[in-house]
Amino acid sequence: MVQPSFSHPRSDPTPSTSASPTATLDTFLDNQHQSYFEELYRSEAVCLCILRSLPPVCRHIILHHLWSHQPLRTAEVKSFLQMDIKASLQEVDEVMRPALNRKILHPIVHKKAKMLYPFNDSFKKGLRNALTGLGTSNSFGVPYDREENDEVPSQEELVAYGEDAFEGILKYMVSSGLGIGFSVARPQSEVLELLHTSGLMIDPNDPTGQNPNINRLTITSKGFQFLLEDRQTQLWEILMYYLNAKEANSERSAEVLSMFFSLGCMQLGQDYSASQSFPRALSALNDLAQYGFIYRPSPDSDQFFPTHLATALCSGDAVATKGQDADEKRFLILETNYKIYAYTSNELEIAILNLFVDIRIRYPNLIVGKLDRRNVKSAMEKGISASQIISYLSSHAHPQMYNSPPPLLHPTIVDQLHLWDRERNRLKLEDTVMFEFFSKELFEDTEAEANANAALQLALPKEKFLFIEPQTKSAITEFVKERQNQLRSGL
Amino acid sequence: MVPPPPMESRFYPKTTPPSVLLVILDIHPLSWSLLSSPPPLPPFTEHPGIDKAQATPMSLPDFVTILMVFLNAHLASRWGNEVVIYGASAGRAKLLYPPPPNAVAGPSKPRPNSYHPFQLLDSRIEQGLKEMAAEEQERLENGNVKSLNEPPSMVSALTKALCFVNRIQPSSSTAAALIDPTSQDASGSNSNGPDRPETRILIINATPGSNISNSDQSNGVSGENGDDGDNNSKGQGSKGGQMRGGYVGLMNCVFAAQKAKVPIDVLSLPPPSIDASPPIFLQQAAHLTEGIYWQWNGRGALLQYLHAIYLPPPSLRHHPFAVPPQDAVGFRAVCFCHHKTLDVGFVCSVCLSIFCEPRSVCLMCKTRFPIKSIPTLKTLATYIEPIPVPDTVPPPVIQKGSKMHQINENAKKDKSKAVNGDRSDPIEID
Amino acid sequence: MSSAYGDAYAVKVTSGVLVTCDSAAKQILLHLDSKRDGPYKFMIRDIDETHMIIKREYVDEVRDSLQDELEKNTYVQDPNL
Repeated sequence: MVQPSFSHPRSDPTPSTSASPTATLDTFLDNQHQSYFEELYRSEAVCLCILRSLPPVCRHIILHHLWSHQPLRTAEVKSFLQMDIKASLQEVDEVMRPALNRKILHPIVHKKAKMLYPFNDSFKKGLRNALTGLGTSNSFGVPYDREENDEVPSQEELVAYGEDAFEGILKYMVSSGLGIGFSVARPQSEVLELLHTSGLMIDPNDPTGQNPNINRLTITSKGFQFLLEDRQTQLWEILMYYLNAKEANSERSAEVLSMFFSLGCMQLGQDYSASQSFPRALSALNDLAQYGFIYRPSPDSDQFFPTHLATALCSGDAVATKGQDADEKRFLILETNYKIYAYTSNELEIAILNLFVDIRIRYPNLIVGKLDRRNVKSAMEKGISASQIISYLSSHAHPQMYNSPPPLLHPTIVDQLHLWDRERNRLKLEDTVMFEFFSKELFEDTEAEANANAALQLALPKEKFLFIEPQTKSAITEFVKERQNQLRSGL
Repeated sequence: MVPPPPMESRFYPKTTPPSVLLVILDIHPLSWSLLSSPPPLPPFTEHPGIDKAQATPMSLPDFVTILMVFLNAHLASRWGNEVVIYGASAGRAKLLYPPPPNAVAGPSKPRPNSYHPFQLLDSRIEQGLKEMAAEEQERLENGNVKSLNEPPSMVSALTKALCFVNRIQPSSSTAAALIDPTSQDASGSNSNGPDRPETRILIINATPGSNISNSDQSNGVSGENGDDGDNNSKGQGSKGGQMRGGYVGLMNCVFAAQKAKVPIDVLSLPPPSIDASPPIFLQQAAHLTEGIYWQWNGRGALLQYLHAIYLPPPSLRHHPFAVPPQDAVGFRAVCFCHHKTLDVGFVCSVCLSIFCEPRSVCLMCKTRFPIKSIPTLKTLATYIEPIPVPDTVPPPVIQKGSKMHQINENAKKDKSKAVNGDRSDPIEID
Repeated sequence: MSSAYGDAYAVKVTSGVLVTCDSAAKQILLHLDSKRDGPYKFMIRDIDETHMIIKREYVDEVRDSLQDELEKNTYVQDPNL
């Protein structure tokens, strides 16, 4: 018997193939104009990171062609990819789309019966300089001239510092939603404001969202979803919220974005000079300190150390955030009887698990619990979807789980989670205005009219019922009256 | 040629595993002196554009600069990519990068305009090469001039590289086998687990082919077999020592790499004008491990060739990326007795050692063969004509400086094939 | 004026909330509605197998009582087991 399954065999929800951690960044970049990229590509670090963000095939074609003096010919792309020489240009365009969107290549031009993609010169120059180290923009950070006997924090200390700062924010968010008490320090007001403008937290006493009391924020469903993301995604989301906030204040964000990439290329444990590395983005650098991206020995010094949060920004995929994180992150064992064993003592992870797991036993390094209907549904009430729970479970799966035959999570559990999710949404409710016709002709005309105006919700030709959006009621009524008159006079 | 269905071509991989590139760089001083003063190239009539490019002198420092940029591009192409470099000089090989963990590589101050990993790699390669050159100098001054005549010790470097590969991915097969002995397909279980790096070896050969494939130092008979015998740092003095182990050692490495699914790419620098015969054993290595073999045409543009041919990781080769057409591979072997490259050889039916003439006693395993079969074998062998047909697909006429191989190729001839008539003769074994 | 004899082009307009659901949920809703009287009935119009129109002011109540009804029909494992 064929078991119905929600998980399509080809789209197995493994963490690496699901949404990329830089999805928010990608959509932001895709909406920018040429001039914005010209500004970005002045920095070699940006060129390097943008190159890495391309899909592998596209990336290697760019590298393949980097040292050539000629524009990239479409025929070359086809032969390199073993495409049929007669393949349509759209197909080539499709492959090169990411590079076109990032303005690395200009759109196709025709020249003497050849189809060419001209290279963006600033990108080409930037990437060449990145590879040869001949740039002049200081985009990889100017080291700080420190005294011989200055104290230098070790890498572990920097990691701990960054972790504390960022988890502090996450813990604050969780505790606001669960009402369970950790003794959580409230983040600084700039951070809270960002959490509010980004919609991750709201002030429940301020329905308009205009003048919130930032000391009384509680987490929203968007915030809960944010908590379940992996770290890389969270970091980029926060950074993009920050960037959007800057844009909303009509500040130039290219400098700031270029700084993010530079930070991503820096070396953990090395100190850099703020004023020389980022002369035009100093205030943004200060803001990042509040999230734990950088560590400053003293608030007003020019010296700063990037933490692992910053240096791992450009590592492309979540798995690569390796070292201390990767193994610590893989702590969940999920059995087919819905029992969960979580080898962790991290307060934040436990709090997140507590959102949808009925925790039964707590040992110093182990949590035993059960995925049950009540807890999962209460999590769903908070706005967490089944697929988010699934992706959280699979991205935190213990290495042992990989030893059983795939899929990683047993289909019964995945399906059950989806079923619980569906159960919640059995009713679809929408405001409507129902038109009940007796004339088939009038019904069809009105249906066409409503369709053309995107006002149609549902049409039942047999019963001659038409359901339309309430706000279009007057317009449709007008139309019906007019048609009625026409039809009647036609009699 | 059937074009792939249009739907298929859309299924390009979204991600690739991180990739480790192990480079074996031939830095034999004599070879590089040849390369830095190449003879003028013969005219290349098929393509006037290529003919215009002059023979490019390529000195080691020039090439290392190009190589560094290429390695940087490898590191740049994906986070988590790594590079390992071995230098192979006359009779010895050494790890150049990464520095051994105990060595305190002076952490040079980061430069504001270069990515720190690039800077680390580049400075370390430079330092390592200088160290090796200094050692070479020292050897010469100690009067050990003969050592320069030894071929570059590819085998030693290759062995070290394979050990390195084995070290970085031991857990994949053993751990999986322990936990799940039923799993047949190691690669299958790899793909499920968290990302395992894919490895490949790139051999950059600077030594003209005849030096590697033909060794006429007929050093008499030796009983050593299967000894990849170049623990070079001890300096094995004897001339034939390298080559004797050389062929068997190289082939052992190749089979090990084949089993470990590590492709061996070969870039052969000496252009046809220096040496018409390609390094056939390296070519075999590339062919057997599904690597890419390519010979430079001596006309510059190495940086682009490196990027175009050797940069895509194995998971992207063949599909979707095209690989350059591989020249026909000569499958000749070297005999164990005189180290000659053979078209027709005689194989011991017990231990599969190869000899250039029929023998009554196998030199390796001491098996005795009936003495009266020897004349028959010899006469039969004269009937065998070396087959001029290449063993692989002949190269299509391409512009990239391909040349015709006028080699009489022949696979090694099994003794039992040659003596088909004598099949019934009992073979006495001591 | 809504007489079908008098005017073939007459149109009847009703506004409310359109409910789209599976047929099982629909039956439960019908059952819930049948237990109510007079002004407390929430259904305006039963349309077909999977649709009905209900009164706007009862939306939340209907959703909750459907959840309750479904909850009654769900097996919950004894948490002590």
